[in-house]
Amino acid sequence: MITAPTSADIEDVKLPMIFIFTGLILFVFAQVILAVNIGHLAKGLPGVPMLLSAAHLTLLGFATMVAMGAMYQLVPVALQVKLKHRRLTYPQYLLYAMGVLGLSFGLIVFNTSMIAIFGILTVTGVIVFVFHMMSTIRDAEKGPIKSGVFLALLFLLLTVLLGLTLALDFFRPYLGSWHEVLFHVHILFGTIGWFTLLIIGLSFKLAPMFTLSHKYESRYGPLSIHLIHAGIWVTTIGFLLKQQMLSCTGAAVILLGFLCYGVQMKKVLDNRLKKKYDLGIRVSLFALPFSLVMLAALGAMGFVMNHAVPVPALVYLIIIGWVSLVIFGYLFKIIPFLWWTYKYGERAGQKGVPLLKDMMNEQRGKWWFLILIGSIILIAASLVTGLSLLAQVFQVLFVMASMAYTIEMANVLRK
Amino acid sequence: MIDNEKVLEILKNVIDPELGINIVDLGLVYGIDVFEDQSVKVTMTLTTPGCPLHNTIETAIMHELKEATGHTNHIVELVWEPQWTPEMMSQAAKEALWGGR
Repeated sequence: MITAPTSADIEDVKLPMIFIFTGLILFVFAQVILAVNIGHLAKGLPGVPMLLSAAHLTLLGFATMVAMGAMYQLVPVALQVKLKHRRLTYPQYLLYAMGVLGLSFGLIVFNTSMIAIFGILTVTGVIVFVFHMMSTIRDAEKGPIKSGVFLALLFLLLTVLLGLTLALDFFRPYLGSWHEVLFHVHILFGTIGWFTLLIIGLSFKLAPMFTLSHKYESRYGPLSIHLIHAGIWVTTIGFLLKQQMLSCTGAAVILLGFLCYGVQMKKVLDNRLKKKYDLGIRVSLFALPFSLVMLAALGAMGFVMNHAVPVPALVYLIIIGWVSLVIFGYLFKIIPFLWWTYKYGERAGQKGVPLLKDMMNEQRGKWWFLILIGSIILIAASLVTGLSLLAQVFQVLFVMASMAYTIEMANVLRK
Repeated sequence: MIDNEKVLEILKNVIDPELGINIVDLGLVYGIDVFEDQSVKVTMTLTTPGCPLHNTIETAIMHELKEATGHTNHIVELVWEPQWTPEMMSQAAKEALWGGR
């Protein structure tokens, strides 16, 4: 006999929400810091402490925080397993949140002791999370979802361990010229290894589920994971050996992996039964072609204008145009879904109970996304052309749109 | 007194919250057993294994059956074989999702 949601199920919803809303608030803070300091980025100086703080608040405070909360909810659904160590979840949140906040503040004031101490705390929070997730997925059925999630967790661990290595170098210099090399590997592991493989792995479940897609060809999915994984290591070896041809080859393999993922998603969409799928899912699937086109266009523009690859603008596009936009898209779907299930799941279909589609105003959402995406394009273009003031103006617009988006999400909890 | 046909009609009031279509037209109901004591067993599946709305749908079924029979002595059994396919949907459901595709 199947019963109504248990207290554990209800608790399930509070846990991801805490992570998600912490992440959204920290994202806004990060974008405010970036608004004040984007001039340095426009001048090609990404290593300025305030920018490092904004980057870490965005990647650790927002993207990883949200990913952790979402994974506590999604991994059991996607892989049909139960969380192995539920009691670790809230302590892990506290450990990680304290670590990230302290680390970000330490970077702002560039206090090397703070950076080291809170870096260790952050890494500890991540290790607890990775241990929990690895234990949880161990018995799951093999396939591209499990592979993507497993590899993503591995790269998360490597990213933060590298980050700690770099933080300790600030505290007691010992890496010399290797600092910059490892910094590049750190960015690669984080953006492509952790975030991209996670997004790709989970989307193999989420996209067909929310578009009601069946009987599609699925070989491009595993291929995309293998190519991106291989590409990461080839690129890394290229960085370590300082062989530009090798790192470019690795980047090309990663790009091929992205294209395979795009093909796979197209096959899912071509076989969908739901003609009109939700705005959030549309945005999250749009983020990939959008980022690839923008990377190509702005990369070419920068090369033509300055005879150099505009690395800060491209990294900005990967972090905001790809990773953050995908997350915003999925959250637009996931937050109302989770909240409705928590608040109305037991009374679904009864008089006076709102429908799932009533939880979010898609018309208003379209405007927020248009402003967010438009701002990203304008900011990235301003960074390539070195126009600091314009970049700042558009970044302020982006901050306002992010705040509006966060308020929109918070309003769901009032319904 | 209820019978299989009546239960099927009752289950048409249970709507998949994500798709907005009732579970009978979606082809999710595999079997209905009505026992002498008017308790009912519904054998059903979901469109996606691990679907997070399974508790919601099952609660809605129990609610509808309770309204119809006056008691809660019913069972909802979730199965994954045979796996749900779009061919199990009614034409009405297909049209609601995509104009008859």
